[in-house]
Formats: sequence, C-alpha cells, structure tokens
Amino acid sequence: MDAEFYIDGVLKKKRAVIAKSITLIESALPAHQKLAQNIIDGLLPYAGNAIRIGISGVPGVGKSTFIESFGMMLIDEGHRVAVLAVDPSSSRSGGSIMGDKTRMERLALQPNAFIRPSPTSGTLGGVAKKTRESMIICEAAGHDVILVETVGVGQSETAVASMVDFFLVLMLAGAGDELQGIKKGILELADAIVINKADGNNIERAREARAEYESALNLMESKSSVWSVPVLTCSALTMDGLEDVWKTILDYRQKLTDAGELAEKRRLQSVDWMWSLVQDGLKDRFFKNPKVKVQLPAMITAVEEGKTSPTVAAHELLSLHSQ
Amino acid sequence: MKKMPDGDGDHGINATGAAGEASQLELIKGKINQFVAQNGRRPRVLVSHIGTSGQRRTLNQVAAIFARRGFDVDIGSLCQSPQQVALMAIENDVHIVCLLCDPDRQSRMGSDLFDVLRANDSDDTLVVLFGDMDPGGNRRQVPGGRYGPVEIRPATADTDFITILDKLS
Repeated sequence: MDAEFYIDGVLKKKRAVIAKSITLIESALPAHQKLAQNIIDGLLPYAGNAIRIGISGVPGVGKSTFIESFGMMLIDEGHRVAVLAVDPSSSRSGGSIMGDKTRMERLALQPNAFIRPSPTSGTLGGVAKKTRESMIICEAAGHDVILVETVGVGQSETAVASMVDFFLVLMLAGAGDELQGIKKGILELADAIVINKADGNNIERAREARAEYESALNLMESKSSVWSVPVLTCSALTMDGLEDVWKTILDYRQKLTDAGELAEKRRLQSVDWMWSLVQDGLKDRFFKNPKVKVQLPAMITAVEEGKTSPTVAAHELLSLHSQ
Repeated sequence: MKKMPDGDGDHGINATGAAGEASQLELIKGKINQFVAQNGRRPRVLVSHIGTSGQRRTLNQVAAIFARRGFDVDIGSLCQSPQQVALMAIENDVHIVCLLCDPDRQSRMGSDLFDVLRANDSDDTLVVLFGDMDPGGNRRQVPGGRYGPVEIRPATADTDFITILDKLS
C-alpha cells in the first residue's frame, strides 16, 4: 500500500485505514516511518481545524469517565470526536496495558467517535512522541474535537500541553492536603481547572475546593492577556456542569482567536514539534550508532559498578557518536 | 537492561517446573523481540468477553498474563457482541483477539467474531480462545482467522503463547 491509499482512506473516514495509519505513525520501522511521513504531508492541508483539548489529572480523578460523558455530549451535539490516550501504564516486562477504553463503553460504539490508546513501551523518553501526528490523521478524517488524555504525572502533561489548544486539568474535591502537594507546574499549564465528582454529598466539598483553587490561581501570573484560568465543578456521572466546560472552551477559543493568541500558540507549537522531532531523531541516531551499540552495555555496567563516573561515561558515549 | 525476576503471581498458571518455565519465558521474549524487529511494534492483543456472564477480574488477569510476556494489551469489556469486539479490534489495530466466552458458546462466538472481522477486511487478525473450554472434553475446532485456531489453556499458557507468536510471524 502506498501513501495515496492511506490518504484517500483517511479522507473517506474509513475506520480501518485511520487505525492502520496511526499504527504506521507509531511504528519503529524506518520504512513505516517514511510512509507515515508521506501520509502526514499529504494530510496536513486537511488538518488544523479541530479544537484540540488536553485532559489531565491524577489516576482516579475520573478522566475516562469524564471523556465518556463529555464525548457523548459532543456527539449528541453533532461533533465528531477523537480520543487519543497517551500514557497508559506499562508492565515491567515491557508490554503496556491499555484499559481506559472500557470506561468509555458508550462513546466507543459511536460511529462519530474514534478512540485510540497508544502503548508507551519501547519509546525512549517521549511518551507523547507520536500524538501530534495521530492528531493530524484524526483531524483529516473529519474529527473536529480531539481529546488527548494524559496521566498527571511526569513529563507527559508538559508534552501534551505543548500540542493542544486547551489544557484541562481535572481535580478532586475533599482532599484537604491536595493543594499543598500539588505541583505548581500543573496549575501553570492549566487553561481551566475542573473539579470532578461534584455530585451527591460531595457537592459542598467541591464548592469549597473551587474556592481554594481560585485563590491559589490568584497568586499566579496569567499566561494570556485575555484569559484568566477559571475553576469549574462538574460531575461526569450525572453530566452536571459538562455543558459549562464546553462553553468555557468555546469562549476561550473565541477570545484567543480574536486576540491573535491562538494562531500565535499554534505557531510556537509547530516550532516545538520540529524540536521534538529533532530530539527524537538525534536520540534514535545515537542508539543506532554501531560504535555506541558496541560500547553501551559495558559502559552501563561500569557506571553501575562505580568504575566510571556518569559524567565521564556520558562524555565518552557522545564522542563515540560524533566520531 | 536488567533481567527481571519472573514467575510469581500468575494465579496458578504455569505449573511447570521453574527451569522449564524460565527457558520458555526466554523463548517468548526472543520471539517478541523478533516480532518487534519485523513489525515495528509489539504484538498487540485485545482481551475481551463475549456472552452473558463474565468477570472483570478474569479479563484483567488474562491481560496481565499477556503484558508480562511482552504483549501490548487492550482490555475490552464484558458481555460484548462479536460486532462490538470487532470494532475495537479494528480501531485499535490489534494482531490478536483473545476471547473469553461462556464455556458452552465459545466455538460459536469465536467463529461469529471471525466472520465480522472478515466482513471488514480484517481477517488477518488472529482469534484465540482463553480457558479450558467445553469441560466435558468436547473440544470443537474454531475457525480462528487466517492463522487457524489457538486455545490458551491455563496449564500450558506459555506453550500456547509460543504457538501464537509462531502463527503471527
């Protein structure tokens, strides 16, 4: 199959072809990567019109349930929704277990939804390495809302925040010390904070948490001249507040578009994308370098055993590479 | 990379001796590496359930067994129809569907699923059945995709994994 086959299939919204295109993008084989690049190049003109939303939060905050309910609401309003789950858990032997989709049972069966969890095993560093490209595929296939799910740990959320228009952070109410423990970093990334599970006898606590987050946010410098980060409450279970979340996102898009900030954001993200590809390429070349390949195991052992210092080892490996 | 100790927590699966188990695991690891080198990704399996009565815990356990041996695993849902399972298999682009069914319906569900996959040009997906089917010993053949049927039986899981990987390559 050549790139034309995939480009054509994606534009015709063929599910199996969309799926196979994403597989090519994620593949480690050089031949697949080359084909994937051609597919992306062919599809780029058809992409870029969707609203890209990153959704983050600690495990247990209800991300999958939120996406299920939020996605269903958008589908009911006539949108085509794609969900890319970036950071599933990995088992120690290397295989990934991807279980989020089971909590999106209704959404998974919608003809206008496409949900694709991606394994992280084997990718070096960049957990979200291929998500940008997958986004392009989904957009070209006519999905106008892209939800990128990420676990609120490590560098994955920074990576996701750098590829979406709107970064939504889900929080829980009621954990009194939560605010203390929270990294300031995540508040800096957020375009909105949404306190989930505001239902039943949790409503009051959610309101209190909302006030706490609002005052925490007051202490921070605003990223945008036209947007101050709101704190909302919702219940993915009862659907309460989800409409407000969507209105907030639309309002954000309108304001930033009018101010020219959204276009600016995407321009900067394109540069980010380039740099991350350069980084991946450098890493890749490093590990494929024959001299490095030969020396690496011994070097790792030497560092482990304390016979060589990490700095010396790193320096030697890098000079092997540049020889 | 450090070798991880292996061999605990499989809930009675792999009752073979420790030495035999270790060499089988090595063999599986080698075959998986070979698969990755040829395909650019790990073998990906969807573990799902068709039928009326199933347990989430069993799905999770089977998923963990696959993952520990180096497969990428999508966990499906309980009580699905063949169409629902096929949709997820196609969307996630898996190589294998591992099916858990009500014991008396296994063969039929397996072939129903395969029919749906074939109707969607995805008959290169390997359908395997998990468990000791037909406790009475009446083991019927299941048309399991281009590669033919494979059953994973708890007592011989690792041997079955090797069969699966051989059929994929």
